[in-house]
Amino acid sequence: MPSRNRETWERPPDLPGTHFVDAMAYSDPELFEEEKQRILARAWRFGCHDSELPDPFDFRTIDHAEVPLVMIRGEDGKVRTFYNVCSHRGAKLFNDLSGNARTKTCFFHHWTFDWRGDCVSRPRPQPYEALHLEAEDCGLKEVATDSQYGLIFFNLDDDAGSLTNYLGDALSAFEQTLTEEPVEVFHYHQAEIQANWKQWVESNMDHYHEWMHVMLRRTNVITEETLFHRKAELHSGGHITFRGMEIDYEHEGTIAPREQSKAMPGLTAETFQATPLFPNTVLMTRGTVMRIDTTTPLTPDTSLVEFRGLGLKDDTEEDRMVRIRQHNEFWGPMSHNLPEDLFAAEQCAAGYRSGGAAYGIICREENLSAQDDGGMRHFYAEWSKWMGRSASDPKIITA
Amino acid sequence: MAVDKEDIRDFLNKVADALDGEAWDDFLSMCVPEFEYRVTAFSYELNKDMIWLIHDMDGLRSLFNVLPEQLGRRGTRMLRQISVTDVTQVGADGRVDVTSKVIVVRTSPEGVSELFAAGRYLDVIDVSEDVPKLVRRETQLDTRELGIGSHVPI
Repeated sequence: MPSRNRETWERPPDLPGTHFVDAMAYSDPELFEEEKQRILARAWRFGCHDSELPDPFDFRTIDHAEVPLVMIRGEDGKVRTFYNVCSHRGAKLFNDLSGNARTKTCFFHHWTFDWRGDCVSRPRPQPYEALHLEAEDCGLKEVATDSQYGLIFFNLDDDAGSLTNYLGDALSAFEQTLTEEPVEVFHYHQAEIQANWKQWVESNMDHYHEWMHVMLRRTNVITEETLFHRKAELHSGGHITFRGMEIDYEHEGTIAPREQSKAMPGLTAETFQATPLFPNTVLMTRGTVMRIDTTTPLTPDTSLVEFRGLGLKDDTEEDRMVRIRQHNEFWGPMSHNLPEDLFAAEQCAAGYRSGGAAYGIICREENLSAQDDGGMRHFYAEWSKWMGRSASDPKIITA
Repeated sequence: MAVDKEDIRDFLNKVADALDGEAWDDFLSMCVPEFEYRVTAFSYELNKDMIWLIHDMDGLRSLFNVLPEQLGRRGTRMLRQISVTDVTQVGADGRVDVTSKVIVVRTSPEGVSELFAAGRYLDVIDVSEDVPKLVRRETQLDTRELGIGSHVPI
């Protein structure tokens, strides 16, 4: 006799609806399309950091949002985002991933655009003029763009509210770190993973998974005592801050100890904190180095995760090398932890995709401390608001 | 001292075999004590060189010691196909700079092979003794999308 038969396996857990997630939320194609329309097309999403566009006319393309985008720093210092498509015949305008261009000429018919998105030149324009199609009607499609503490966000919704209102005080834990001294991105890599986008977002809120990591088990850098120093602060808008935990690297031979002199502003070298921003970005730090994850849904079953590592712009060569080493130790593509985290997300996805797993349980309550699942519940409460469906029973429209 | 390119090729194939076979002690025995290993890549997003892994001999030993416990699928194999493209003798201290193209194929436990990475090995090899030894290896990756990544040096 199996421990559970089909009926008991598929029966919703005897828990409040806020404390579990239906498999459908991870795998249903229609729900996925709805997420794109109701959440991703309307939410403020992280595009890049200020340091990626240091000079006027610097640009950075974003190829994995629902439409191709390009972010450009104007002559006035302001960053603007445009659909990265020519207004003439739809050809992709900027093909390089980054660069500097005062104007951009489409390769196809040589329409030229400036940093404001205005069309400033069309070869032999007379036939257009005869039809009253003027250059000022041929500018690029601009996308709402704003920044806080050097983090540049875009919003595909023309009617989006302000970024300030969207974020509220969610970035307060990182304000000093991001603003006291100039910060710079020194690491970037992407991973296309076989998992629903929320499964990666969850991994940065599900602290109960810490026991998976061999380096944490071997080194005991997280103890029962340090666990309870961590508290989750639930911000409005579905954003969360986990902070209070300090990691004791000092007495662990297998992990390089952190020097206080290398701590980033407002942090100790042992600080371990994270701020997941709804819907798809997470800021985190291990004291001497910062990381930003951005997760973009590609299909219900595949996601693109961007990983950035950040240090101080004015780092000495020696300090930068320390940050690089400490970044790579846990967070690089060849680190101890990141491949394990990504492996876990893919294995969970395999369970849901196959129809094997029916529900995800997010019911741990530890007074929003230690390994409480409250962060995930807060995320799904926000998800439910945007979707008008509960994550535990998404078949039912609630709003 | 003349450098026999065939010997260099044989040596680098043995190094690749040791890595493919996860014979970590054999690999380390082919390196000098002050060996430095790094994996680098150029980011077109940032327009910057990046270091993705950097270890000395102790760091590599520590990495290899942890590998058996590191989460992953048992039976996943890597195969490094190298092609030596340049051997340059540097000074008279018995060291040579060697550039090789490298293609890494990853095969799943089910036997499905896929290209994992492409790039170059930039090696410094000590050929002053009877047996060559690696002094430095930089694995310069063209591939920057490594899926879930790897715990094993490329």
